[in-house]
Amino acid sequence: MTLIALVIVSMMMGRYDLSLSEVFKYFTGQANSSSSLILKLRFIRIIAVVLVGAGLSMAGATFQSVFSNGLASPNLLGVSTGASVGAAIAILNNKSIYWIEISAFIAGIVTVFLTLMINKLLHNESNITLILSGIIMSGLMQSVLGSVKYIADPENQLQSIVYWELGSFMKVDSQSLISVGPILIIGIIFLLVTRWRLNALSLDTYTIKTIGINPTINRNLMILFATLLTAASVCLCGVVGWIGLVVPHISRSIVGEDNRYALPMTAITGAILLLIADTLARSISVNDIPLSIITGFIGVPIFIVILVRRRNIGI
Amino acid sequence: MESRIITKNLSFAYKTKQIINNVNLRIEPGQVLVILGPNGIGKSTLLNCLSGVLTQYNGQICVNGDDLKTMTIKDLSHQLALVSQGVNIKSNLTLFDYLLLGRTSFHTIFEQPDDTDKRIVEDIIEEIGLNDYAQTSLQSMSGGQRQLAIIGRALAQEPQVLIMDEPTSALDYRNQTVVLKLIRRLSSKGISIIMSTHDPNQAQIIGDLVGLLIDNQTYLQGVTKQILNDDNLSELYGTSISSTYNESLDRKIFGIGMD
Repeated sequence: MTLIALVIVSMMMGRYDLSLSEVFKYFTGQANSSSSLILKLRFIRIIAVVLVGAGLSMAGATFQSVFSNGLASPNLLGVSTGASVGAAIAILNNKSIYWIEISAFIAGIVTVFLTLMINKLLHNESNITLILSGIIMSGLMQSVLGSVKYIADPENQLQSIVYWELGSFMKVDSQSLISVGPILIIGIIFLLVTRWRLNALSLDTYTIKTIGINPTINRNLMILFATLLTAASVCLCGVVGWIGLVVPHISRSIVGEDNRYALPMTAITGAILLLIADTLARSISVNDIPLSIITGFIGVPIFIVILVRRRNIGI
Repeated sequence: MESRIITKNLSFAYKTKQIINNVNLRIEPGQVLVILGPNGIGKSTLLNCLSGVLTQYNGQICVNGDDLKTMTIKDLSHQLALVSQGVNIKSNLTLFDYLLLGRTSFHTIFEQPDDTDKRIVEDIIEEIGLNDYAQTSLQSMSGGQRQLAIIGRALAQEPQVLIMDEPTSALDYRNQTVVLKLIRRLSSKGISIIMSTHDPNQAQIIGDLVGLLIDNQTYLQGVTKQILNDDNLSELYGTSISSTYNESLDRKIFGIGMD
């Protein structure tokens, strides 16, 4: 309900404020052509924001469960940066949006498994080591991204690559939404229907095996879909920080640890928070503000509060 | 009736180090087998082999007549459950949700727990005596309650064999009694229990059978009365151990000598 109300409020807000009645007229097909055009663009953007908000948050929650590590997130594991490297390489080769998606997904998967390999080499099971491995991979991918930018054509390629790094929904249009949206929807639905199994996967490997499910297959399947969601999000709007890390914690502090309730809550909360952030991003000033700036200002204070509140039970 | 578990010349080596060698173990329905042995002798390794976690062993393990290596993880989990040491449990779930995890393999990845699962878990919570804690997070429970929770999760698999790795090692006397009484009740229902412990007195209290892992080469199993004596235990631990008969408890008490 909150989400629907927010969608409507968000439709009204922007560089040209529109009234509630105009928004209703748009949905009933009676709006005049000028406001209808604005509302159509806004509606496409809002759908993209809602899907990415839900998807990135669920990806974060999934990583946190599978690695039983409250600090895991698409960004801290290096998946987001990896996916943007994949996207950038595809842009460099002037590929279509589909190839950008595939390339982002493959690079995201490669990054997450390299992160896991580094973590294994370190022979240390602490939560921080996994994040350290993620930061190492992220650093490497930043360098690769830097090299790609260096050789990119400054006229048009460089601009689109930089757009990816900052995180923005400015360039989302009906074509990119149609090609990426379904992947986000598939990923979201898959994780929602398999959410009970995430509870079991946060146990230790031996226990998972003795309760009768294959730890490797189940974990990798979840990692695959979480990475798919991250890569698809990166294709639509670039790298958006904090959402994937903070939202799962907010949801769990509201409905508890059980993913049967926490994961749907995460999806809705993520959609709401990103919608607020994006509405601010396109309404505050004449130009769109990069999204990560706003999610940072919202996410960091919330994360500090969560860290302090949850220090007793361990993150 | 088939023996619940039989091993034939079970051996396990880690890299070049032989951990356990030629273990021939047998347990019937409703029996309690207590495994004793010094630190690092391979008790956990043996239990991890029996529970299907470590599969690179030599020899044979039969569960209800079937070779363990031919069984799927799922089928095995419906016959046998592992209770690991509870100290390091990381889960923040409530007791009820944690016990539900024992029902995971009864469903496909796309399913949710149903009313049958919930009823089974409610009964188990009653059995382990934690009715007041069903909605309490595991992290806010005591060590003893957490150990009971792990046993409960294993019971939710409705196994015929429970394998328990030092289920009482982190517990005080009262909680040890709670767990040992629970083990006795479960065995009277026909569940076979294989547990390891550092306390020979526990073998005396609940063990029908005792298995001694004397060194990396020898495994000796027999009925408690025959196996559990001062000489065997002194040799097992490499220190002098003697027992006295306690009339009010009506059993032998083992203690260490300091000479």
